[in-house]
Amino acid sequence: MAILFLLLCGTAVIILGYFSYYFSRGHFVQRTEAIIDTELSYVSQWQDPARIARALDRPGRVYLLLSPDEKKIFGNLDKLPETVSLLAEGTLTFSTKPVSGSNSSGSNSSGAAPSGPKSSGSGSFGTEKDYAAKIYTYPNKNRLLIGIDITSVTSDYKLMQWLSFLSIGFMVLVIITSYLISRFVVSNTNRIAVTAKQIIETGDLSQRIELTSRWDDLSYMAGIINDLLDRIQLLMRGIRQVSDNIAHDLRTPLTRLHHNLEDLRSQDHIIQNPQAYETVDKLVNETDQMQRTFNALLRISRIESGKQHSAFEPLELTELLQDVIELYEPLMEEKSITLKQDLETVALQGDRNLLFQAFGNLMDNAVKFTPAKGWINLSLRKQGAEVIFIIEDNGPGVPPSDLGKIFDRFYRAESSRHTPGSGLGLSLVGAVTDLHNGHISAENGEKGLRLTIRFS
Amino acid sequence: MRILYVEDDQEVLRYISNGLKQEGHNLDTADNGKDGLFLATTENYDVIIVDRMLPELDGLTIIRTLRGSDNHTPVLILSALGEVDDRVKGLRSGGDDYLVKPFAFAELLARIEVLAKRNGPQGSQQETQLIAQDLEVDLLSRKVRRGGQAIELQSREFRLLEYLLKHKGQVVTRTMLLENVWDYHFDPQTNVIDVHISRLRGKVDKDFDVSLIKTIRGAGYIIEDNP
Repeated sequence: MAILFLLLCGTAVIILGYFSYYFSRGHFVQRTEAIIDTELSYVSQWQDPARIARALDRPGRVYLLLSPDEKKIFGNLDKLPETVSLLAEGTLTFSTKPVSGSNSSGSNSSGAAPSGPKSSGSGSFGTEKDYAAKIYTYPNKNRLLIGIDITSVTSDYKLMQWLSFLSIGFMVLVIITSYLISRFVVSNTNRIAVTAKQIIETGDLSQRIELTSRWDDLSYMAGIINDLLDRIQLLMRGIRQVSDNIAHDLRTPLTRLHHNLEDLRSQDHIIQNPQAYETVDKLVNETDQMQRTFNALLRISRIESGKQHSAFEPLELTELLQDVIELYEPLMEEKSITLKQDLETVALQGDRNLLFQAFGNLMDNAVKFTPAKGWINLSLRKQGAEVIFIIEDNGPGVPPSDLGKIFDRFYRAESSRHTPGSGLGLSLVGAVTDLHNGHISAENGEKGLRLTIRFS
Repeated sequence: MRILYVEDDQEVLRYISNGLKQEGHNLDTADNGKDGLFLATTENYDVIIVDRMLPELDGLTIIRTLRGSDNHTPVLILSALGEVDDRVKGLRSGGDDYLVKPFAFAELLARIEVLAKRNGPQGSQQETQLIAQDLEVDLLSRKVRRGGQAIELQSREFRLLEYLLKHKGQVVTRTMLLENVWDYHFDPQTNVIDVHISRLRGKVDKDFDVSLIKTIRGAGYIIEDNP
């Protein structure tokens, strides 16, 4: 990024500098040439030196008529300047001090000769001045130099040149500064990103972005993000507090209710009355179900908010899956479900009880929704650094509009409202997958639902 | 059986106490950690039930102190926290079993009976043969015979039967089976265990007049030693 920016700016500066140089110079050269050409075209018609001198003797002009043997005939210059440089093709430029006064005599002489304008100029009154000049050679080999004072123009030009250099220098300064700023910004945003990523991955909300200074905007932003993290941490603590409070305040009375109902169920007068017994038994089961849902909910929120990895150990995922399959095998046998499995040996760091619960829930779901004589496909394979687990059944699947919702708490498909379950099974799977750095996604497969878990 | 129960929730304490007394157990109770530890160190108990969160001294500290002073009375931890993590912590600090509130009384009863037996005189020695009524299981050759008739079992069925027989005369709950036979601590959403038991029954009880594996309503399963 920074380098790209540097290149673009550098190119812009070079182009700008070149253009300002080229245009100012070109324009000025053309104008000066035009003036001298006009005057030369008049003067070259005339033979009378006095007339020429009169015509040219104006402020800001230098002129010099030289005989072929380099002798001054007339003019306000004594001789051709020694150092000249070429301003453009046919136009010279030089600096000189013009001789004060100046009409020296001189006759024009005519001579035939092919002529071409040649130039050179000089002039001055006291201080040294810059001139642009052209030289015209008469047919008699006399040469006339006409020069125009371009001091103001060249000083403008020099100023402009100086300004361009200044602006180029300034731009370079800008580039260096912006490069430094962008480096600073990038390294700081990266630091923020790294911290944020660590927090997401580890769930450790106590991490903060390190502040190196106080004056810049990024540190200000980092400070605000830190404040935000403080607040999130506080809220998370609040949530945990609430769920702990729920656990403590609601579970205990629920336990009592359950206990008292069980107590009631075991009393003789209830046992002797079948109708009453059945009612109480139903109530016991009802509170039992409530407790289960409650526990599952608390468990999910614990897994989601805690990100506890302390029960993690290296384990063979394949063996764990075999155990899950073995546990559910009689259920599949009862429904004559065919299980196709393609399991590679995969090792993983994880919490075996939670993983068993998660895969158990998936298996349970699949068995529940697969019709009799249906099939379930399981596959576990390694793909690069990823471990991919797929479970697919030929049950009714899930409406496409609901695919995103199936991991939500208490989601239950219309078609499964009448089947037993709390709607928390897949939420728990989602939470456990998250805890293991995995990602679960759902789609409708060939026939039923296909769930894919990717552990990275 | 002599039991110490340390619990700060009076309601639960009363309910469990009543239940245990009805079952004929000799019960001491304490409603804070300090009193609990005092009783645990000065008296002899078959089983100690300790709530994790207690005033004065928490349950895990009590267990650690007991174990530190070479007291190996089986301890069952009760907890409202119910996380795998907590469970691991509880068992690491020296607890023998861990039960999450809310629990069914039958579950607690089944577990303390198993715990007490484990520490009993015969629990420590290795048995190679398990016998209940006319059922014989040889643990070394992994052969099962009933009334002289050989029965073929798959490995999980064998382990299920083995666990039931090792605790014959005691109620074994579904969670206990999951934890001990499958070695996973989790909450099955359906009656998977029942299906496994009915498969086992199909092999062990089907051709016989007396069914060995009995269902205890609201609790679990049991194999009785005598018909």
